[in-house]
Amino acid sequence: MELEELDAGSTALVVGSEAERRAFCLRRLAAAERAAAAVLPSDPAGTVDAYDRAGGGAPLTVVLDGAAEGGTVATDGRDVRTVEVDAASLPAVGEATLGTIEADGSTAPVDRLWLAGLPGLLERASVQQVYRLLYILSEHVRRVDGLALYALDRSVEPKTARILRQPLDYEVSLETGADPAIRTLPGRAGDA
Amino acid sequence: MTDPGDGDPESKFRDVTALLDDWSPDPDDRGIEVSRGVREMLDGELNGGASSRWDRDIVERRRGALAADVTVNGEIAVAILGTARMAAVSSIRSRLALLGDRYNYLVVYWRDTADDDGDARRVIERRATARSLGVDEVSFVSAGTPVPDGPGDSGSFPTAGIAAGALATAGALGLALFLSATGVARGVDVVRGFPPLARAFLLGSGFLFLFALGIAVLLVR
Repeated sequence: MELEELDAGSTALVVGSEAERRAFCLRRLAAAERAAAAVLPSDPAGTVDAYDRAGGGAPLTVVLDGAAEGGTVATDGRDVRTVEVDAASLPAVGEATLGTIEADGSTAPVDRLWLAGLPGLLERASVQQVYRLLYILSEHVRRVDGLALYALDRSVEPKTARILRQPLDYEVSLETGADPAIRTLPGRAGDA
Repeated sequence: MTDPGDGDPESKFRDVTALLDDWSPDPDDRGIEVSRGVREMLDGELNGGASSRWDRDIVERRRGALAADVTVNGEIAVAILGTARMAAVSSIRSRLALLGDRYNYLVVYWRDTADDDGDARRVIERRATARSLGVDEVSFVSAGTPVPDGPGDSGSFPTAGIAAGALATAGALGLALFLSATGVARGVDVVRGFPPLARAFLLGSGFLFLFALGIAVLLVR
């Protein structure tokens, strides 16, 4: 399967099991040209190793839940940067993620973003707050011609998925043993 | 950092309903202009005091038959409907059902109530409950003309009015009969002296009067 099905300057909701989401998103993260970011992955150390194995050559930023156990990442001389946040605060997660896109000059701005911790954010915040986060991140990702992948569990309520995908460009459905089904979404709002 | 109140979706729904309740479009605006006006008004009012980008509400105008006209934070849908007519009840109900399948909160804004059929509006509002639409909450507001908030309220008003009217009419008739009982008895005696053709004419006139009265009562309802 080609990796270029998702255009630069676009955003996608990726729905599947955790293993399927992780494999799909890491492959696309590894194709980053400037830099990549993984936000709130469940296994930060494993994520860095998997990024390397997938051939990721661009610098990687991992946004970590500061309160989670086993959240440390051994960089071992690799081009990996970590940022700790309070994952219970959506604005904190949002600002840390935006910080990877709006790089301050010390690091390159990311062109591949994977929001791995979306299911956890939905448990801690309202649908409206999460929608706001995805909307703001998507606007910034489009501006830098990047690609954002928002990973959602298949068990999420269908209406919640319908609400969250409104500001996005694609929905990717992952099924074991099948190619990813990529659907173009009807389009974003006329004007916000 | 997260303001607990900021995450209360019902509170935001009530804010949106109250803002729309106080708002009227420019009388010359139609269709897309009204939805633009709603979006601009909600954006200005909801975000007037927002200090950071994480406090701002995302107010968007949407396109397509399956979408709301305006949404707030993706979850609150505003459907702008024109004049309510009996012929359109079915299509309006279908549209609201579609929106109920896509959003958790629904505000229906009646754009033009001056020429609408009040019965059609009441039928729609009575049947489109939050439960039947599958949403957490639904509200109906209109441009200028206040309407009852809940479906139950909208159904109770006509019944109460008709009952009060019937009671007042019965009271007035009883009083008139009591006061004029003697006169009526004398009148009947006089009529008995009339030839059969004249009595039939009087009887026919009486029935015609009652028929006209019945039609008038139906029209008033």
